[in-house]
Amino acid sequence: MSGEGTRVDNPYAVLGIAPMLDGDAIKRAYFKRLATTPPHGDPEAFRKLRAAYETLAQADTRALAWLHAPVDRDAEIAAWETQFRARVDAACASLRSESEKARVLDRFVRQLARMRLTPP
Amino acid sequence: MARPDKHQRQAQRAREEIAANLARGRAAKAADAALALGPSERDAMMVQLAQAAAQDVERAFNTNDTDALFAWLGRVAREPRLLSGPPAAALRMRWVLFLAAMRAQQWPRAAAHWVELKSHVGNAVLAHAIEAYMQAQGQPAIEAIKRALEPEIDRLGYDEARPKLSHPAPKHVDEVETACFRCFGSEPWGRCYEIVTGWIAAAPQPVAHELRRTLVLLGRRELLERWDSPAALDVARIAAECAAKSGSPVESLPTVELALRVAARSLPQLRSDRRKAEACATIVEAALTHEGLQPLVEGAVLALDFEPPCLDVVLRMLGALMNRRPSVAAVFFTAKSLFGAVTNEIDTPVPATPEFWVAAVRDLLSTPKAFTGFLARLSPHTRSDAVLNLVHAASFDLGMELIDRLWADASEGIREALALAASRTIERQRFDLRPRNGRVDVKRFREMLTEAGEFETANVPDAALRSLLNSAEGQFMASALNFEAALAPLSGKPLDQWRSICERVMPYEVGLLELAIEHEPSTAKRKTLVTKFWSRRSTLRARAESWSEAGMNDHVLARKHLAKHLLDDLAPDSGDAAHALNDLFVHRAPSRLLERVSAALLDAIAREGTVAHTDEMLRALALAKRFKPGSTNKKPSKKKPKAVKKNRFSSEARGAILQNQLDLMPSEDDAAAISPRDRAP
Repeated sequence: MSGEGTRVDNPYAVLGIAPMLDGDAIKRAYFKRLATTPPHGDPEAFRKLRAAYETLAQADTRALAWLHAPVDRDAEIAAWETQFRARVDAACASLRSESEKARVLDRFVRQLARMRLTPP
Repeated sequence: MARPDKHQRQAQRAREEIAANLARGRAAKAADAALALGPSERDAMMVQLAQAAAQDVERAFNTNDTDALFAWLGRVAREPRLLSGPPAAALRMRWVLFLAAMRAQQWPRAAAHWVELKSHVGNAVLAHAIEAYMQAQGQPAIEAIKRALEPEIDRLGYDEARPKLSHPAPKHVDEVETACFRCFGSEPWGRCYEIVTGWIAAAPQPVAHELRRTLVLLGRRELLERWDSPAALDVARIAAECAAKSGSPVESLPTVELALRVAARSLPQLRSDRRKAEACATIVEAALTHEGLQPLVEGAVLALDFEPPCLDVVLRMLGALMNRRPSVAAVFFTAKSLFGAVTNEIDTPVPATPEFWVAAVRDLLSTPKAFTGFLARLSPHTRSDAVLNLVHAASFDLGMELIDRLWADASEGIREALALAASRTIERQRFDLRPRNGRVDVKRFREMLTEAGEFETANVPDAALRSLLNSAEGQFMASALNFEAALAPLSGKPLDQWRSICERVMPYEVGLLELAIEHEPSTAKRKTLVTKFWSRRSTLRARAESWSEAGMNDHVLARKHLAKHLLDDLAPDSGDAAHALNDLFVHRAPSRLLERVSAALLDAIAREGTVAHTDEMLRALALAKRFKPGSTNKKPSKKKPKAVKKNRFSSEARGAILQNQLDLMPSEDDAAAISPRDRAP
């Protein structure tokens, strides 16, 4: 095994792909990278690439690599915000408006309760 | 005098009741009694009643007794003359009842009172606002009200306490998202979770389902927010728990994946942190509900590192994994062996029965390739433990079948583990089948103790030995010493099963060779067995080690046959032979064997024409000098001497080389100097 002994922290990064579990897509990414990193060009880079691919080629090690791959938190947050932020903001705006209205009405009712009418 | 009729009697009683209640200040009861009378019959007491009513309504208003106010609303509706007190008091009473009607959302009654009150409200803007309020049934536009509000009092820089945001529970599925998003946007996560879980507990099924679904979405956002904080695991647990209960596997998958990644990050550090372990277990259980995540969970759980306080939680995780992925039954066996390594006393009951284990082994047998793949990923020690536990958990038949079926796909490392497991399981089977009536007597006990060499029994009287033998400790010693002798030979089906795997597993374990020789009466076949055994040992050093191992484990037959065929089909080099010679000498090999190995060493040196001057070689040469072929005292053989194999060196040349090497050897004194110390006791 050419990659034996070479440990790669984030094999997905070496293959230039986002963490995924799709074996075929990983294979495609490997061959794409291989075209730019031939064994004779930069042996060290090739060893890393090969080690990364071997890690991701087997289902069990791929699973572990996926579990421990860094999460692109910013992208995930951005995706969530795109999908839900407007709805959260709208809900909060309506809550604010309703609570303001409730506050005004509460003041109004308390004002009425304090009121003394002019006797006839 | 005529007796009053029923109606008259009731009216009289009511009048007395009114008078009594008014006298005691119970206006409400007096009014109720009055309402039991006809309208004309109340006339006489209306003034008093109106006065008492006005006082009671004012009291109820001041004490915020809404129930009393609502009751007065009803009474006044039935008897408007209750408002016929002094004008100022009547006006005040009407105003209070008007406010109560609005509060009770009894808009027609409020409107009726308003007609009477409107002219007494001096402020037109306020009157307009009140009308708007009534028309909108308590929900007017803020603009209609704001203008009528009194200016807020300047409280010297202190703001008026804002009322707490209220989060009414959604009553319909359509309201869930807005309610949850409002809560999420306006409250800290912990409070939001508390509120929403409170709603879930009280909500009908469809609303609760939708609430959980939405909480998963919110949990995902919070999890991303706290990704690098220690709280991430707790948030992940909550999100995973909701996802598991939401019943929306597709939608909740991204959140569960994220939670699982947090758990995977925490799992290797679980150790003794029980809280973390429980959070991880919850996440693992949630993730296992997604079929696609099951291999990931398996990977994460197999990377577990833990300490005794968390064992039961870890077992829970493994149990969940086992329930969902029967093909990883071995996880449990591995876990058991790991637990055994951590602590010898596990109080936690393993949630499984013997039938379960047998079923699990059968399940493994259905996919032997998958299981050997699993074993290949384990470390050698763990692998060996896993296989041993697995075979141990199964019956003898099943264990042997398992070894048989796994063998084809097994790597060399797995085969070693399988051979060891075969050796142990056969030994156990033989022990179980041993004759039970073979009680050890004192004479045999003395012999066994003497053979063991650990006790000086010559001077111990029989009575003392009998006493020891009758004690629990003595029984234990006797059974341990008698173990080998007590083993029953294999026969019937177990023997057939053993024979079916013998050729494959035997070369891996010297104990199995002993077993094979024991069950093979033919001398020729015994030799074949040894040859097969040697096929995995291509050096004299390895063969010598096997011979020593057989000796150490009291495999008498194996030891004898290995010694007999030690050099069969082998031409060791001088280094190999030197190491083997030293090793055999240390392990108290008999002189005849040492002579043969010495001869092999000298042959090798003669062949190679040179000798390495290492300590090992010098020691070996000293031994070779001491154990020169023919140097020991033995009876002359009556057998015809075998033909000497032709050497590629001529006899003169060989003699010259040998003489040359022997000159280099240490003296016999040197060999004697190493012998007593280095030889095993």
